[in-house]
Amino acid sequence: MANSYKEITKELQEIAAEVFAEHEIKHLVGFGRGEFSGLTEPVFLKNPEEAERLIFQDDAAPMLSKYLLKYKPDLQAVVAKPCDSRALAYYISEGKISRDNLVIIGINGCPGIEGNTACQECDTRNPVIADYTVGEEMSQQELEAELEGVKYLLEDMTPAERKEHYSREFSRCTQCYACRDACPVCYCDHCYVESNQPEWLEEGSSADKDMIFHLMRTMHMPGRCVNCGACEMACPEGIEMRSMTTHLYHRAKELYNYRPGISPEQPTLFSDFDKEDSEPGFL
Amino acid sequence: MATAQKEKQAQQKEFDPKIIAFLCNWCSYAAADLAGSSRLQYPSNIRTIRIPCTGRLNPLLVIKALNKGADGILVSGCHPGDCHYIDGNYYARRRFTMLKDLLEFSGVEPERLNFTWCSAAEGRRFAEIVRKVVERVESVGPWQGFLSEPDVVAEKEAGEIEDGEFL
Repeated sequence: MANSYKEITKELQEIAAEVFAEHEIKHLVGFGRGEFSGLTEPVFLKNPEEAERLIFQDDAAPMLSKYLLKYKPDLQAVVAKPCDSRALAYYISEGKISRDNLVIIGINGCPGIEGNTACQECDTRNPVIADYTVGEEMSQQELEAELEGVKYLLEDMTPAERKEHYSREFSRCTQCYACRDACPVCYCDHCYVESNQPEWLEEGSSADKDMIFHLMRTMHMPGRCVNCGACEMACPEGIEMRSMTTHLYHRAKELYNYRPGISPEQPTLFSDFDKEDSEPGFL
Repeated sequence: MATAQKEKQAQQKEFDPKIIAFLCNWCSYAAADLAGSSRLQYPSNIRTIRIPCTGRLNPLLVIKALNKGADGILVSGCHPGDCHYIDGNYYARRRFTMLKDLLEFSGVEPERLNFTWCSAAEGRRFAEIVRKVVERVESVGPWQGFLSEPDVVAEKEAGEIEDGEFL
């Protein structure tokens, strides 16, 4: 059973105080009620008295792992949804952040985020790495029972139907790059979209340029995308783009038995190879 | 009548595909050379780009080539295990499998995306591959872009928005 938001919030506040007492952390990154917006936003807690600000709700969509990179030389604590914990494991596997600098409060049996389609096909409901956990762990059988018969987005469509679908969806894209900014595993200092030497994306916006942007963005994603759905949640135009990365996520699982961020020790998809890798569709 | 006939002829004119071939310097490029110096015939539809290794080929370049109007892509490198840089093509293989998957998923015909291995001694095989690739690309016709036709047309028809429409 997934845990309720209330229980998780209560336990989070208790554990936060514990974390402050046991570790000398710079700050604790978690979710809190925004002072002006009233929405659930990332909050940086500096002392144990603030622990009651922590909440976990069905609109806790931002991925907190990305906020940690800025302060990576310091010891930080973070409230990690299971997808966040996978992103963190991925950071560690890439040497992006040190495990010693992290205190991870994992959320067991994550009840999911409202409106995020990725949560319906989520295959990680317990954190992969954590120092503290809240809530009850979800058993493997239970997870498998929930996932039974679940199909990933657009799996059943024909390529021609998908082409039409993407033509329609990406015609709304304004190239604001919110999907890139929200993505926990998109963290290059110099992104290809802003590069003008070489110029991957030409200036100006048109339907086909938007499509190129999304294809190129997706091509950076296989072996990185943890299938958290943050890109889609961030999109101001409500464009359905997750199906592309999700497809590659599932293909990498089928072909190479590879799921990003499953353990901090595993090499990344493209930095590793097997001499026996299959060659589907090669001449 | 003469003009009508000419128009008809122009329509019937065979589709001449433009295929960008990314060839590895150490094998496929040499194979193309060998095919040439052995006077083997193969279609002239490929435009060769010499790359140091298939592992060097950024997948984005393939997307870009298609975007710029290439009808098909051919990437050819050394046979797995024979890479000049020991394991470059093993890395490339994973990347291309994923690239191919992504493009096919989003509606690009699989016939346009051709990946293969060809050693420096296989001039004959290279000529065969090119013939096969051209055949495959011809079978799916000219490349229409990553978007489906009606939407592109709709956007072009909509054109610039008049100032009045904002008010």
